[in-house]
Amino acid sequence: MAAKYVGIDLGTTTSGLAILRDDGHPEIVPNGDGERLTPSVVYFDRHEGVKLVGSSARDGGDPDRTVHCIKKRMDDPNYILEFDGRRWTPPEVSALILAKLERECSRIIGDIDEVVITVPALFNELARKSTVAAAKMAGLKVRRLVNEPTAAALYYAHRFGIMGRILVYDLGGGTLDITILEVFGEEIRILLSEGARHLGGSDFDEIILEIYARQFRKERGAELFTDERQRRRVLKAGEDAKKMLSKLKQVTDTIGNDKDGIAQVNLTREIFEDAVSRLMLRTEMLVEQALAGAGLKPTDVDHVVLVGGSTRIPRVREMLERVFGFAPRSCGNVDECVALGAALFAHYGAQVKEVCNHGYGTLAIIENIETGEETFQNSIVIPKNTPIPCAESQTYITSEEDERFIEVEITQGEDTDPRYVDVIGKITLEVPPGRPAGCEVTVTYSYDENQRVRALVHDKESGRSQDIAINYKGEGVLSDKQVEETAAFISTLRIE
Amino acid sequence: MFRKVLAEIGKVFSTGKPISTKSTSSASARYEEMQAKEKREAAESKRAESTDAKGNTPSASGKRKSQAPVVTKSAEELCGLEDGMTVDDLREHLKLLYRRHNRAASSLDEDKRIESNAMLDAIVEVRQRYIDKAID
Repeated sequence: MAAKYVGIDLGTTTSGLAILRDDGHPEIVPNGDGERLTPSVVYFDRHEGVKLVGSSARDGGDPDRTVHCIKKRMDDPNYILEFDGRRWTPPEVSALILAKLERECSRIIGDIDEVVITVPALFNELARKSTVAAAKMAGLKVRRLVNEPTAAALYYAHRFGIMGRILVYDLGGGTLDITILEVFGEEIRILLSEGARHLGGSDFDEIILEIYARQFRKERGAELFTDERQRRRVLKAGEDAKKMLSKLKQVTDTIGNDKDGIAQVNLTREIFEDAVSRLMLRTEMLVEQALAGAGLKPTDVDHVVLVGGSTRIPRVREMLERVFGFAPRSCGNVDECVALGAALFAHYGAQVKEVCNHGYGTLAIIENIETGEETFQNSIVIPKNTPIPCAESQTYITSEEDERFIEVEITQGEDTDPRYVDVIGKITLEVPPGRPAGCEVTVTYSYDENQRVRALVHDKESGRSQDIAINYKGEGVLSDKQVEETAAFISTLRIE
Repeated sequence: MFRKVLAEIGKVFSTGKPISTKSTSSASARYEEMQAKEKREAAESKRAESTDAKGNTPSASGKRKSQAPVVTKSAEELCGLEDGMTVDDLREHLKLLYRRHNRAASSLDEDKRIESNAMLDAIVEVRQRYIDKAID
């Protein structure tokens, strides 16, 4: 029998799968190693061709054949890895993680038909598309994508039965997401989502790595690590120290290498917090941006919820308590609530009203009628935080006579300055010759519940239209055919 | 002011007569011109920064004629601080910059990501130095 409501948190550092039980409560399903969360690490074994995923990949093997934090690359169209003559794109590597979860968890809960997968709120179009492709290649059908803070908020509301206005502060392994939502009875309405990339636990680990390296250099006059294997070991030690500093004010560690001996390092919570203070301030500024974007003051928020392992850092709680005037809460295990919320979302997703995570527009020359001044701008068609699904139109006019091609560049971003938005697609509409200037062209964007955008250009004069879904180009972007072929290939692989 | 003008035009021309925006085909050409100009200006700026006290610039082969250090902008310069800015002015200014560059740090363009991350570092440095210290 197929498991009906399944949610997956495909995280930067750990991933988890949860199901909704018959009693209406979600539950984490452990992997084949008995772990509730699977490290998002993949090891490409040279000898047996097996792909190790999880703790065994993280803790042993050639670091040059081990892939960490692949989620950080899901929106990089040109990122490629190569092992044993085969190229691997980020979604393909992610597919291996998902395949492990699918295979091992389905032995416990039965076949998995459809899943809800969570993504960071700031994930752009390409990263979302890559996540869906990864699921397909792992043999999973995606019912919906849902933003991680939305899933966490759903779990929090379910767990504690609370109502009101909630701010979710989700600081995980690689990203920070902040979502403000309202819960009224069975309905959840997202007001706004903001995010920051390269701002998470793995970035804090790198800072501790630098502290250790500096201290070792001072004591031993040598470099602490000179290759990736050594670096990874120190990074792991730093991560362990970071976790201990959530409970202790000071940690003493012994670090070293085979050549230069060992040194003792003392890392205090104060030193650590000082070292990460700028990253922490970035998170505080994102909270301020979220509140301002929703037109709210801190006193307008009823609950602040912590999600993600990095929220265990005491400075996070202190900062949020200072901003809001009350202590934030967590839903128990901050690492699991996203997966648990995803399972709930699989059943109750229709009750969640979401918003666009990005603005979409087109490049245009805007003329001020009064002054005659012309400026080149990003003209926003769908503003960020518009409730979804939605469709919005904007009408423009052509400026030249006898234009044969109307080109519309589709942008993603909230800035009116074109330098600070991404051009994610282009529509070229061929029109008949001999037209005057001043012909009306309507651009319509529609945005679906999976945060995917389609664009339609309509020329009033000729009646012609052209529409596209956004497609990216790059070495790391797979076509539908390639996704199918890779799915077939992955189904033959041994993944442990 | 500009958006107000747009809104009023929208009301006057209720049949949908559009804002007088130009065709995006010429916008594309303008955009490419603007990008090319930015790249030229960035290259000029790099050459200017690496000019030594005697006014020498690196040769075409890329080898420096002198050993003068590269001059980089301070956090205050990157953030465009101006004399006479109050703490409130600065706070609002940094908020705008933060919003812009936080978004651009997720750009598909790697150069933009690098630039924006540098700007985010500068923004928090200025904030710590001039706003959070002022409050303390």
